[in-house]
Amino acid sequence: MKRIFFFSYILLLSSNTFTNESINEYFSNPVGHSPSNYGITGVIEIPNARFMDEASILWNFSGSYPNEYTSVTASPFSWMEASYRYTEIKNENYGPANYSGNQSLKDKGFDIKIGLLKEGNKIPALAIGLRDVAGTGLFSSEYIVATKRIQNLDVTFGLGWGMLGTDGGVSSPLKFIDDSFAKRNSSGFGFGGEFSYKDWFSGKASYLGALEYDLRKMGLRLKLEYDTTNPDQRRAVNKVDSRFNIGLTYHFNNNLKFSTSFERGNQFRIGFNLRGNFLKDTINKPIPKNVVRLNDEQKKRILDNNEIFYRSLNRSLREEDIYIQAASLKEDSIDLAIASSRFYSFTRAAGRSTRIAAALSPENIKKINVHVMNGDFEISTITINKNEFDSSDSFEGSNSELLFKSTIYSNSHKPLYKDADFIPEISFPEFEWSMAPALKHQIGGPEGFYLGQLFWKTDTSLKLKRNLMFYASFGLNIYDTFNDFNNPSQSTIPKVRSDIQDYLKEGKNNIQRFQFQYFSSPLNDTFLRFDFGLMEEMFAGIGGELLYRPFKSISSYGFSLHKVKQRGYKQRFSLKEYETVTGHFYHYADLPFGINSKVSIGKYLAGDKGITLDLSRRFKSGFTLGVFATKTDLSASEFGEGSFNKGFYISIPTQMFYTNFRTGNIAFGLQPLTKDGGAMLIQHNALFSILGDSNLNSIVRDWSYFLK
Amino acid sequence: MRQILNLVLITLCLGCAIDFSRIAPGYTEAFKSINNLLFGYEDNIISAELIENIPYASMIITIGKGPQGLMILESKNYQDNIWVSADKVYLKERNGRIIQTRGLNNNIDELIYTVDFSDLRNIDTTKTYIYFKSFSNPTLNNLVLEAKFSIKETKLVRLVNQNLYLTLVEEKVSSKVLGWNFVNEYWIDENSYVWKSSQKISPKLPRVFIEVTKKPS
Repeated sequence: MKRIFFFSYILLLSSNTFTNESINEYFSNPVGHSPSNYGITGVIEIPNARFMDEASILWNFSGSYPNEYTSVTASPFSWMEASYRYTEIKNENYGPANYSGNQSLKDKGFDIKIGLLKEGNKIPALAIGLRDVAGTGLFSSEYIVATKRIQNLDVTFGLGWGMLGTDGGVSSPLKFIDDSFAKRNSSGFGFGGEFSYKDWFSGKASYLGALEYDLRKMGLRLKLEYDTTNPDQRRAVNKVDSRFNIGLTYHFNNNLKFSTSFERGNQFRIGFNLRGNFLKDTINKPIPKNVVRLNDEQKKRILDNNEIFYRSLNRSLREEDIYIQAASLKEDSIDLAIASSRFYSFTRAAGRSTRIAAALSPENIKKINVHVMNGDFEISTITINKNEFDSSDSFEGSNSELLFKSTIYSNSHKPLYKDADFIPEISFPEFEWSMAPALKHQIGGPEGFYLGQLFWKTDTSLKLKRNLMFYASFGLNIYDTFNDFNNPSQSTIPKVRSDIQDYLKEGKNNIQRFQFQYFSSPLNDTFLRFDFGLMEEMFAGIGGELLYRPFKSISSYGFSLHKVKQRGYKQRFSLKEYETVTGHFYHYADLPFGINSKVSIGKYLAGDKGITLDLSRRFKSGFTLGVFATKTDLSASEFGEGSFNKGFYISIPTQMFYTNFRTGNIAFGLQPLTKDGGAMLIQHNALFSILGDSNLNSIVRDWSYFLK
Repeated sequence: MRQILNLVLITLCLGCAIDFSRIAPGYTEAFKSINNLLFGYEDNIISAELIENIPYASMIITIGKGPQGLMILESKNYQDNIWVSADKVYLKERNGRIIQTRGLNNNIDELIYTVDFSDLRNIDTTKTYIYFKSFSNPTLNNLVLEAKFSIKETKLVRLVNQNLYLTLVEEKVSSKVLGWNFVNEYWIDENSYVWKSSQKISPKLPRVFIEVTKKPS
């Protein structure tokens, strides 16, 4: 057998193949890699060494008997995929009938695959991966796979351990490194949540092999694999008639694929998946509006009466949904403070403002200083040479030259609106509101896989004066299934989050937030926020946050401290007895490749002390993928199932789905379990969320939007 | 407490009931975007008067379900006309056929053919013509296309600023490599000038509809 694989490998290495990948994209049903049953790119049961393009998200459903998989897979890098999966095991019950009725078993799992080598003319792509890495261990597997393209054929072979190694055939291949690789200790089915790294790549292994052939004109990928998972030996199924699985995937378009397979010689499977790539915003947005330049006579009149200039500026900026906050027309420069809730990138808003100011300003103006505001904070100032802007805008100069010749700095403690010739009159209090239907979910509980609520959400805000805000949010129930809850918290530490079932069940019509906030920037690059009121659905209190964001540094530092009291389950104005002081020190850093880190050290809501590490990758489009983990001084038994707090989140800029610019994100986060350990207070308007994307690093990153 | 909550909500609703833009603004925008993508944009009305007021040669272009846009003649070089739109899309057109583009998501770099299409009215409908088409983003060089022509009926065609008797010429194009088949349509006058056309220029782009509103001199 080894001899066959050895020679196969030599054959693959020696084959000089040429593939023109770009032509694939011109087929009406472009055939590409597709997910395995488990969600990560692969064949049917076994993985391959292919990856989705970076910044992709894939939602995959794959149904058969006894296992039905639903997963979300993300690719933070072109060489990495991570997947979170629910498996419905139809031939096992979730628990005793009095606990979970007749609900079938649901198993949570987390998979990861990392590319080791890119495919070359003579070498295959190589990847290493872990399946069900911190779950119950039911599907625990590790693998090293190589995939090589030969014309329209993808050939995969490799080694699998754990479930993928059930077939055997290779006796502990890594034993030569250390004796600990000789034996796999896992009994297979535990409580989950821990990384059983001592078992990784240990014990017997199996050779994996698969072929995938593309019929590109028909949009089809045919698949054949040798299934080494041997479910009959693991007693997952009664009978296996064939170790070979066959399947095909129909590529409807780049985003939607349908698949079917015939597995174990006796069972059909069907599936489909939706994939989105968020590396770039592919929906065209409106270009900057043309501004009619003033004629000589109008420019002369401006010199005599600045009000004409301010009014023209105000009107033109409003057409772009940019709101002037203050302006000063000086001898040879203009200072202009702007705010906009339309543009996701501050740089784009600054660029469009510069374009308008340049078109309307008199000849003597040489510099335009755009003071960019977010809320009432002045977050940065961009000084542009007007002639350089005009030449870059007419393609005589480049965007990079413009950046090189511009000055970008921060003067947050002296905002322009405090000392400017023109300040639009604002009548306080300013009242804003919006309302929309919204959803709440509880997924994977014993009472039912999905319990949810459709409710009508109303958000209001009252600006009493600059920097002083009052927020109120209300929820009115429309329909819910929360009465099915019957699994009260068994936590032995203060139940700061695990009473979620009571909050959801009793607080269907609730006051989500009723809070005063005050903002200030007493020193340059130093920002403050004070909070008072019903701060979130479970806690009310008083406190604040301090952020020091050196404008030109890649690091920021913060501190928050709150005295909080737990809210009643009905979420009106009543409070429970539990109260605590919670606070954290924060360190934020912009790392290479768009990676952002946030380290929080302090005391959590349940009184436990520890550290939270949050790592995310933000792409230029604003699409963000992140993971976090919290370890506190609670023991694993005090914490309960899961051993420590962890989760992931995905954030997609809303504007990627629209034909116009928009601020805001569609965020999706998941914590496998709602636990009391490592629970943090939800802080609305966290200072880093207002200011984190406004430092020099972020403006330079987005500079290509300045002229667009 | 329930009364207080209800009072606040009623006050809110009464105070602001007229401003419907605040009710589910995200959903409303999403509906508009989906509607535009599925059913196309509302056409901007490009009037005959507007065209008359522009001193340059012009044409109206629609790409797929996108909004109508006006392009003006930027330059002319023998048979090649270069048209430009306000959003800086450039089209190079020869005898009514788009042979090069810039500023689109996927662009034609080059269209090579050896036949003179200046007289479509007298084109040999029995022959199969070969083109070589190259694209960028992503790069695809010298895609071989085969084309056959057929001349259809002549009828009165209503254009934005005039009515003309035009003859429809159909061009059936196929690519064996991609399995890509499509039909282009050209409406020509008695001098074989293409006043109106519907062209599929790339497998990755929707169909392009062109109507010349002021002919280059």
